[in-house]
Amino acid sequence: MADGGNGDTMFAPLPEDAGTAAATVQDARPAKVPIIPVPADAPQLQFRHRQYGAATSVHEYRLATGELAGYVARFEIVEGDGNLGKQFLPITYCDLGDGRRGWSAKGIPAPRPLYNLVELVARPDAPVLVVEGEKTADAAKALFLDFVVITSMHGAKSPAKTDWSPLATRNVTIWPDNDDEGKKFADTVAGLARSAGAQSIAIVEIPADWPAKWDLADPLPHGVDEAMLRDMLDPAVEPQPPPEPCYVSFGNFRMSPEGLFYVERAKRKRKRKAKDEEQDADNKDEGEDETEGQDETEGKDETENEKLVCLSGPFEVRARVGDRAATVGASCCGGTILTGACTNGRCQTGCWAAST
Amino acid sequence: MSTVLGRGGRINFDRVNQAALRILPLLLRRWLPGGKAVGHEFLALNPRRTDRHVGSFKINLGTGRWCDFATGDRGGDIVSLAAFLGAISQTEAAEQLAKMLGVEARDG
Repeated sequence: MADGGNGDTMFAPLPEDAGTAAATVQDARPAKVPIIPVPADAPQLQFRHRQYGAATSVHEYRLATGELAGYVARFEIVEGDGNLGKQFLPITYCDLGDGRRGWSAKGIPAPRPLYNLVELVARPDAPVLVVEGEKTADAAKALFLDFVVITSMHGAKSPAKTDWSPLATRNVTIWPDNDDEGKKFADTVAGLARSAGAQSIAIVEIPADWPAKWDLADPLPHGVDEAMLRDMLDPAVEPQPPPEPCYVSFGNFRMSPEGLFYVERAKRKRKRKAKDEEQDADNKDEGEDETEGQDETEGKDETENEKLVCLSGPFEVRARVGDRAATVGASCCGGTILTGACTNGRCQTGCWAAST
Repeated sequence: MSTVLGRGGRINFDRVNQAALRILPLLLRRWLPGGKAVGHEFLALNPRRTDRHVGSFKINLGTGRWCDFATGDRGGDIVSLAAFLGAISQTEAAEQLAKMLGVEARDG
């Protein structure tokens, strides 16, 4: 298809042996399976890429326990057009099949640990700075010693595959690269930090006249010094308490931090008559509604007569979509978009079709 | 979405995809020469952009789902892959694939 999409050759008649030829490509190479964490008896990282050669720098990723998860290697290469380029590869200690093990260019499976996770855990009161890329993180760490500087594996494309839960209760500032990708990364990370329960989240405003793609590992823009960088962080760091969640309950449905429950109330009015006086003395605050009922047991609190049926974890209504124009590309013509935590602790967004 | 109205009935995308899935490795070797299978995935350069490094553009050999993780282009089946590679519509890709595979593109 290097010819750019010639339908004639793409859909030319198939060879006679199409059926048998099909099977051969599938088993070309066994899959490599990363071993996380790297076992203690693994040899030191040895890796030379067939095409890129030796890495120019290597960044460690460790689990919260301090155990090594893998590396991201940076290669500086000469592209086909003669220009210098860079390429990043994850390197993990892998099961290579047939009982062989070795360092190989294979990613850490999601959820991946944050870069500098060990320091993040070790300094629970330090403010957190999120940047894009390990090289930038290392540079930012030297600039802002009071911050723990973190990033996620593989730059701007896949922050959602990293486990951001260690940001719970932390004050988080995000310094985006000065381009559209950087802005998108910052917004995504802000959302992930919010879902993780961060105390405060702020995104640094980059002045419009700064060089495109500028990040903290680049030379300072003209007329800017380190103190000015620092000043850009400070206004952003003011902890803003996250808005209190507003739980909406209606009818027999009750939403709380624990989730959505259906309240089944016991309806046993017959017991009431005989014990009315006694119970009113015990429970002065209840009895305004017949349906609340009472158990035979004395002195019960109102809530003990309710049976709570757990329906789901807590969720948030993000939007309601009602017309076709708003849902082009979606598979329903109207409904509610919800974000909530699944039982596995991950945050998910889904579309709930309206039952009209 | 599995059907589209058109002349001569709806396109049955499921049927075309099922037929294509059976010979997916063969199709991929034709469409993406130089690609290779690694585990359950097929890795190749994306011919629709200046792609110098194998690794971002992947096709799942079991399901036909595909994605270029560098650009975000993605699809869930082989018809959408053929449409993407050939820069043609999904309908046209489904019809061409069906003709090549010897199945009926349209119902009824």
